[in-house]
Amino acid sequence: MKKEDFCDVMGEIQEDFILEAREKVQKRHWGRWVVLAACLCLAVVLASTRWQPSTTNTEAVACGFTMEAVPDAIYFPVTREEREQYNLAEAPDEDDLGAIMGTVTSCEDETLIGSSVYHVAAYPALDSLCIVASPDGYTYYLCEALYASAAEGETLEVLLETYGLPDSLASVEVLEKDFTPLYTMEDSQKIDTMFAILSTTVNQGKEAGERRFADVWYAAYGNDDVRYSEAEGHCVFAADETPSEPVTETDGAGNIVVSNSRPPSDSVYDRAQALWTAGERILRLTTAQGFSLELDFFPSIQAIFCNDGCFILTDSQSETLAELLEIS
Amino acid sequence: MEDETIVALYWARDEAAIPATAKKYGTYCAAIAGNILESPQDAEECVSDTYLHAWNAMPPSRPQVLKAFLGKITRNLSLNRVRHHHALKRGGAAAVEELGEIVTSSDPVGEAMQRRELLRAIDAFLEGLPKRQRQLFVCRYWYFDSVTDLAARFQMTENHVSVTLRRIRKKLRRNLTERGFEL
Repeated sequence: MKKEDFCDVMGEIQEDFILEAREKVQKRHWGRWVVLAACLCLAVVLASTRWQPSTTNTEAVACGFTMEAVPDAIYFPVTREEREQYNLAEAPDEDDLGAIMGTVTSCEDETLIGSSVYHVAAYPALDSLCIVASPDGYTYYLCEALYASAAEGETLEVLLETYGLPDSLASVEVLEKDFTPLYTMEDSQKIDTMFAILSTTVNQGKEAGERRFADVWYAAYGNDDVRYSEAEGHCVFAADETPSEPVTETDGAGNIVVSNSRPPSDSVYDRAQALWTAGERILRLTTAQGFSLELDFFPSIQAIFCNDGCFILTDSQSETLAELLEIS
Repeated sequence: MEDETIVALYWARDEAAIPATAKKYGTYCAAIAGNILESPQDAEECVSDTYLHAWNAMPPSRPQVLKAFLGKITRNLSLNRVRHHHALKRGGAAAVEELGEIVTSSDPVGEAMQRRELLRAIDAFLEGLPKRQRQLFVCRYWYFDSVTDLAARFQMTENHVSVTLRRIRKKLRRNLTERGFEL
């Protein structure tokens, strides 16, 4: 079908829809933000389970704000590190103002509500970085991760859609578990394959991840030193019986035998950590608007953790993703 | 004047129907034509032609919703003028191009039956959208509102409007493909 013909067919849609489109637009219902209002002043609001505020000064404990123009975003004042990252001046002025984005809708600091919010002129495409014109002057604000979640049973596509991914994709960074950058994925076929996998994984809840790990531990070590506790809803560790010092004995044949010779640091917990995080990779998907979604892939349990969700992969999905991410 | 009264004038072949229509819906029809056509003169002519078409259509038509009835006439006339005179406004051209993401084949439409089925499917899809998204989609692809106008109307950034529309187009294409339409 030609697009012009489709355009014609669109012309015949229900009249109710045609009239409804010209109704006065309803303001967004912000009820759910009431829950977040208590969090807006905290420096530890997390849009991702691995997100850490990169703050080194007390300014970042200032209030965050939201605005209707960019749903799901909570903006905080930029830190010194972020200012350096974006090459921003200490304080913006009128020359730094880009196009208007909207107005502050919700903030614990009520003096900010209704203040105009502008794009930064040097970064007109970014919705993540902005300047607020408050009674006290101009201030840079930043939001790098959107408030998004997928309920149990929902796929990761719910999160991707919040970010407009993959259409709005600007970059795919692959990082070590400690956030050390490894490389940027640029092969479009690999990226397509990756999104095809991500969009079908289902959030089965964190308990599912814990259960999986208990199975992985048993397969690796053949014991219940790590086991899933139904009561606790997560894995529990056997008491570490390793003495702090190795024991040296002489057997009946006069041979010297050293038992419990593992290093003191090699506790059940340490081994569990090593097993769980083997091959771990963090995928940082950044959009053209400047927002980043971080996905934590654990090949050991074939799962992706993101925003309190645990998205389980099939054997083949996990294998393919590990190949794409060059995990040996 | 009430719509029923205006329609009654058409049925009575009373020429007062035309100025009554122009007074109540002239601005509405002009906005539709203005969104589609580059030239204000072309847009004005389409609006005038709308009244003529309405005069010829009633009777036998007795539209339930006169506003939508007139809007459709204006939209069709404007698009027809575009096809004949390549007179599409830049914003309207962008909107039509975007619809090309939903239907990628260059094959002719086919039977009237397929169009009716497609229309039913599109209506069902729109019914299932949240109201705000539906309004956004119809404003863009029925009224051909520009992204800038949509951003102002819905109090969103232009980036967010573009991303939202893109997502809806993708969803619609997936929906129609799953229903068996060859797009």
